[in-house]
Amino acid sequence: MADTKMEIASNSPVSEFTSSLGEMFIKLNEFKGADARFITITALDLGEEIEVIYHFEKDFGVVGLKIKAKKDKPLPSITSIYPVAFIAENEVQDLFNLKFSGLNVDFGGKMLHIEGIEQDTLLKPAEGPEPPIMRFFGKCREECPSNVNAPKYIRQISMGDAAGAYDTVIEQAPLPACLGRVCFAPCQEGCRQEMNEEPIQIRLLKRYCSDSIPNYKRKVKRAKSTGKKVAVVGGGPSGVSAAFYLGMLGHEVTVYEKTDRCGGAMLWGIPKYRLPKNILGSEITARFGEAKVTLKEGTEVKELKPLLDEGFDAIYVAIGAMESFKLQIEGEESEGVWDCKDLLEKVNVYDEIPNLGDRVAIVGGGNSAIDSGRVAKRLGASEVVLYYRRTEREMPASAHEIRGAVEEGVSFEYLVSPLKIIPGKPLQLVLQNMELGEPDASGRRRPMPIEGSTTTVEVDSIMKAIGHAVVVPEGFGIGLDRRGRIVASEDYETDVEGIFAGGDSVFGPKSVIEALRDGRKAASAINKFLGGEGLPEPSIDMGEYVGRPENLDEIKRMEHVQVREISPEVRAANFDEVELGFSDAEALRESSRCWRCDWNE
Amino acid sequence: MSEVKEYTVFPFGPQHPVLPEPLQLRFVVDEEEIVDVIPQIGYVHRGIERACELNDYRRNIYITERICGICNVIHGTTYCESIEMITDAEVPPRAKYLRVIWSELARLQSHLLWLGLFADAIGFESLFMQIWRDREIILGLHEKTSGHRIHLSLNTIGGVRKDMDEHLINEYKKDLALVRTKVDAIAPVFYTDKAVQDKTVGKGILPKSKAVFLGAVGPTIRGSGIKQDMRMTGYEAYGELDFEPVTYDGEDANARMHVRFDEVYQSLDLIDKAFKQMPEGPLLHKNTDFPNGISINRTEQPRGEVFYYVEGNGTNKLQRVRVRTPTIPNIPPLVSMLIGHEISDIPTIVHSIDPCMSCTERITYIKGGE
Amino acid sequence: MPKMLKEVLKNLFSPPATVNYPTVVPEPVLGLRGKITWDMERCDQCQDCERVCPPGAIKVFPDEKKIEYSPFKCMYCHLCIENCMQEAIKAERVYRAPEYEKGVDIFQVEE
Repeated sequence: MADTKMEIASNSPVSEFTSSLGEMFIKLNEFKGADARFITITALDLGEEIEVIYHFEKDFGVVGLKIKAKKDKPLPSITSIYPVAFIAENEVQDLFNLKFSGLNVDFGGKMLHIEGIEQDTLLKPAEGPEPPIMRFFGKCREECPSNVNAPKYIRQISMGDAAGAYDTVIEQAPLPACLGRVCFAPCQEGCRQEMNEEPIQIRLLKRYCSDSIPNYKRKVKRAKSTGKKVAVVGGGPSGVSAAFYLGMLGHEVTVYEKTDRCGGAMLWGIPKYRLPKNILGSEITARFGEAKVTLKEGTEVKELKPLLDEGFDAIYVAIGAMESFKLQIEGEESEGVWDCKDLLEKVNVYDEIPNLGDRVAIVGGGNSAIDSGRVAKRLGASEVVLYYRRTEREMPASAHEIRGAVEEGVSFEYLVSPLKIIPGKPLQLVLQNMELGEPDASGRRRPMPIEGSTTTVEVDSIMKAIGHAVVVPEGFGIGLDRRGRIVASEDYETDVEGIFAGGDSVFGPKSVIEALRDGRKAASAINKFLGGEGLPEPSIDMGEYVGRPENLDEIKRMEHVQVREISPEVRAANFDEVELGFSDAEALRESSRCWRCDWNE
Repeated sequence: MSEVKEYTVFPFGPQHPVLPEPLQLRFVVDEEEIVDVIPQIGYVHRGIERACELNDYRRNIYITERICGICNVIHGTTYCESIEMITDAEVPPRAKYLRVIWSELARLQSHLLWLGLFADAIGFESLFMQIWRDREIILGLHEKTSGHRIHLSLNTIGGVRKDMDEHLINEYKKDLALVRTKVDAIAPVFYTDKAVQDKTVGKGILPKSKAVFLGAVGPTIRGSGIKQDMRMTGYEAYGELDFEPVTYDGEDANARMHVRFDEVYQSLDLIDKAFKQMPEGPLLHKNTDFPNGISINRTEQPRGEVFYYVEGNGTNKLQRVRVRTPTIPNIPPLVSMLIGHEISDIPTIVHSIDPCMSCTERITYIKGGE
Repeated sequence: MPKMLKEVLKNLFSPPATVNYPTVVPEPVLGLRGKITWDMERCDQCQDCERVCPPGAIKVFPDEKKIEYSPFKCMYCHLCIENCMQEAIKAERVYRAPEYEKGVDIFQVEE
């Protein structure tokens, strides 16, 4: 007869005794001698046995007697000592199909049950109509291409656990510091608070959780070595992501990068005032260190077959989209006409300061065009005009970028398209005026030229920023589609066994987060191809308690935190980072505003 | 050769004009005298203990509230307390006082209902109508507090959902003073009327020596001189209100009636005291985890002691909820009280234990419903 | 007995305690738990109300932007009103009229 291990919470003192069948009656006689009052009997289905607890009251405390009864054998009744127990024992008999022998008033299983109707009992498992209890990802997490667990890391930041938040992001996307500066944040557009114009600034919180712990060394363990070798061709975001996840799963990964630094489109495409290059470099180095990835910079891979012969078991191709589209107009090769990729690479990677002159024209409407415009301003141009062939509503650049460009003095001209370039100093750019016609395949209205109407402007430099194409070396030997992009299945497999592809080279120029998602999913597919189990799918942790915030009324009225930025006059003269991120207090306030759409209390 | 006595067995219930709820008692009578009683319950099946396992632990508040219509606030409070004890959630003081006020209001309303039914069982139908008309004042108070007349639904885990402002407290004081004058007007009828005394004195004896062994609870046992009341443990705010239970030594139906009558006055006094002592403050402290553990909780309903055994296993569904309401243990004392009396005393004695059968059966879940 | 006579005489000469509903409708109290309606301009179909409803009287269809609410299963506990973050649910101060069949109310977003 021992006391129970689990503490029983009660408003009067409780003690319990476990007993076997033989000693039960001795204890009961003791209780009767001490004038204990019978309360009731509780029965629980434990699977193999039924636990029967007799409750008594003695001196204002509750005393219990626990018996474990087998499901088929009858239990002796206690009505010989406590005759008042017959109602409770009949209940247990009806509900648990447990017979009692020696009952003084025995209803034979018919006290609560009626003849002819099938009755349910209290045995496990519980069956019956249950109301639906849905567990919800949260709209922000659903909008993210890579399902980063945004509600969880916002919650962790609001509790002060920035390191935990950092680890949470890396489960789905391995570069939080970069994403916190460059991601176009579809999660913020999914946030339910957008209806009153104040979504939670999830991207800046992601930047905060990596900036606030600058010397954090993650305590993660790489899985045991599997002995398989994987080659990753291309060191851009997709390749880095695939290399990291494959390395953490235990494979030996080697990354082949054509230029002398990893980073891909993040390195040459995104200017330094948005993403400082030392942050990019240190984060990639940290991830490669954790996953024990070998990096071969300055090595260009022209053929894939020799890699397979060397002993690699699988190859992941992530060469990105590096060739700019040509304008295909007369005078394109003149001096002063720049490819935006060349300009951006010179400025962002090699820190050169080319002279663009005073007046710069940019052709295009995407993020690269806006970046080129803002870079041109910083290089000393006084007049920067961006020419786009549709209207502002159809521009694919993000609103945040357009606003930054307008603040710095970049102007926009819509519904014009380049017709001809007349070389000379200054250059003359002849533009065709357009008007919008019927929608084309992408859903945007197609621009139609207005006959005979042209505009001519004089500029010192022209920048081409109309998009990039994928160019795959012939020696790769994998199937391509008519636009030159690699053809890959849903699991990122090409038509050659053992060769996988993803990122911009398959889908065309897209965003960083989509490339990181491709890298993770391809790593999972490659792992399965090599005999492993793949990475876990994003799911909800059923055992974790996430409560709704207590002060719902206060939270609805909180205003969002404006992030501090360098003012436009100061920032247009240098390449320092424009956004200054959150401080500790600001991050705490912004993360407490979250409505916790993934609650499951 | 000895005589073979013939006994008649006749059923009383489950439908009977004098019974408030369905209960069957089969009487074995010899001419007019009762020799033996066989009780049978099980007429009001719902699916509460099973439904508490299928729903998650927050919706169970609303399920346990609907075990009984008369004492619903106390069921809800006890369940919330059980979960709060398992998860160590602290209830703020103002919420404790509010819960006490609403529980006492429910007790007041229940005793007035019982007094009306008792008068009807004796034969006093006009008194029954008058008492129930006065009870409507309390139901009007319920409606002003929360919008519902019977099921208040104001408890939640960690506190209460709504507050009482100055205007509402003044309404309470005004209406409860009115109730007090009305109860004062009918008190002489119960205390001194000869017809009432003839019908209740000496009927349904429950001796003090056997009361505890028979397992009686509530006013049934307090009418036999034993001090047993769960409010003495001091749960919620009772510890600060100087509570002493009411007992009488008569051991018969008259004593039980006196106990309940005095409890009406005691409830009015407790509510007044609680209004004076109620502090300001927050209303809710949420729990921070799923319930994982066992809790045994007992509180005092108008009819006696209610016992809750709640076990949680760390997920959002509970492992077992076991409810034992006060009418079940009062049935064996009822059986022993009835033996030796005549058939015409049956309604009085059955009513003196205040049977509430909808509390009693709540167990099986019948398939086929939605 | 004489004490009851006083009460009887008082009742004989005072108006009845009940009102002649539906000819006379008494003023509903403040905070009455009456009819529940959705304002579809504020609702964003997040399914929070469906998750808290104890009897399961609310069904949300996010693809069709529709809410089905059964006033006969509802027990007027107001948990949905407390938990809606966009404040799209309101309880009116009107009693719900009885009907012949247990139907369902449908609230739809206008295009």
